[in-house]
Amino acid sequence: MYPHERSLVKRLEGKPFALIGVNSDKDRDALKKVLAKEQISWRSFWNGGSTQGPISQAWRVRGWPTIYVIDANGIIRYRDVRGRAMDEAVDTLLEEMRKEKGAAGS
Amino acid sequence: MIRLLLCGLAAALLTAAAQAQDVPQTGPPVAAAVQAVKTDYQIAQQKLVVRYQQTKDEQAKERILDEYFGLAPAYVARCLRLAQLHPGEPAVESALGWAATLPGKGSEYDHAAAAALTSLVRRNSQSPALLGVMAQLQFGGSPALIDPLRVVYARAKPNSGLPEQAGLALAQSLRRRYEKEWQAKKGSGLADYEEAEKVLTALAAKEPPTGRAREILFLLQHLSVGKPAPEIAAQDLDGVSFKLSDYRGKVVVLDFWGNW
Repeated sequence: MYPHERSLVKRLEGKPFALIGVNSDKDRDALKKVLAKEQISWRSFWNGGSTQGPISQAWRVRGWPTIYVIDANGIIRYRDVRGRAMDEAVDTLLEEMRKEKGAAGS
Repeated sequence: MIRLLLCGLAAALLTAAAQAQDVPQTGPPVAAAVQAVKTDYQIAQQKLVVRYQQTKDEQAKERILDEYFGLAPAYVARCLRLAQLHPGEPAVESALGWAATLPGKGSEYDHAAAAALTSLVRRNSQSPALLGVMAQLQFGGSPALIDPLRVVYARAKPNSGLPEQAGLALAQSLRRRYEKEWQAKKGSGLADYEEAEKVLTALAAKEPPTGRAREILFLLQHLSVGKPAPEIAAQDLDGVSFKLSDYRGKVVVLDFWGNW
């Protein structure tokens, strides 16, 4: 998972895009070593040290990883997209933003 | 080691399949033929898992996944053929149920899974095999299954557990189709959305507050395509507070993850 996410984040550097994690590991300090080792640069919410934490409960998450793709207006646009499908979803939304911006500007 | 083991298994199964073909009428041979299809599938699946684990290249991994999700139709076809040859065999019902719940992706897969479920429902809309099938389908949700699922939901006898399970599976498939329609054109898919809402509301009224219908109803109403993402306000890994809505104006991939 990490290499794919790393390359997505790198490819979209400078674009209106963010990868945000919700992390359910137990130990924050141990996790920080993983972040350094795996070059994980993106920000994560802390789910309280458990898969049963408040954020995953509020979002009714039952499986890991669970992915949502959210547009610039905060609307859920895709869920359960992985690999290539995740990239395509993000690219579609970025293109949609670019077009809307163009239309508003003209 | 694994390969060797698999070869041995394959040889044993080929023998089982050959024997099954010699005596196609009733009883254990049909069950053996069904078992042969299942085991062939598991072998094919296991080979791909091993290849996936041995592959480092990301794109090659994706191709193996595509292959994995493309396995089902051939095995569904074998089950459908067995069902044609042996109408009235109980083993065939379980085979069709198995076939309808294989993992897969794409239109060919959707068509195959729908054919398996439709064949099972036509054979016996109260089949004992359906309960297990429905229990699995409530975690999936292929839009292609909506028609046979509607039949199961409508005909299921009360107190069998089947109406509840079929309702959940139907609602998940309707939710998926609503989302696909919404993605194709913002704001569309409402008929499917409302049908799912109606089925789930009816089921939720009869279950405890922690029940599954209520949970899927919540997912439909708050965590589906087209819905505003629920706000998250919490600390990051350094203890600094932030909110999901801080990222309004950007496309966000929200990734529930853990290092395990």
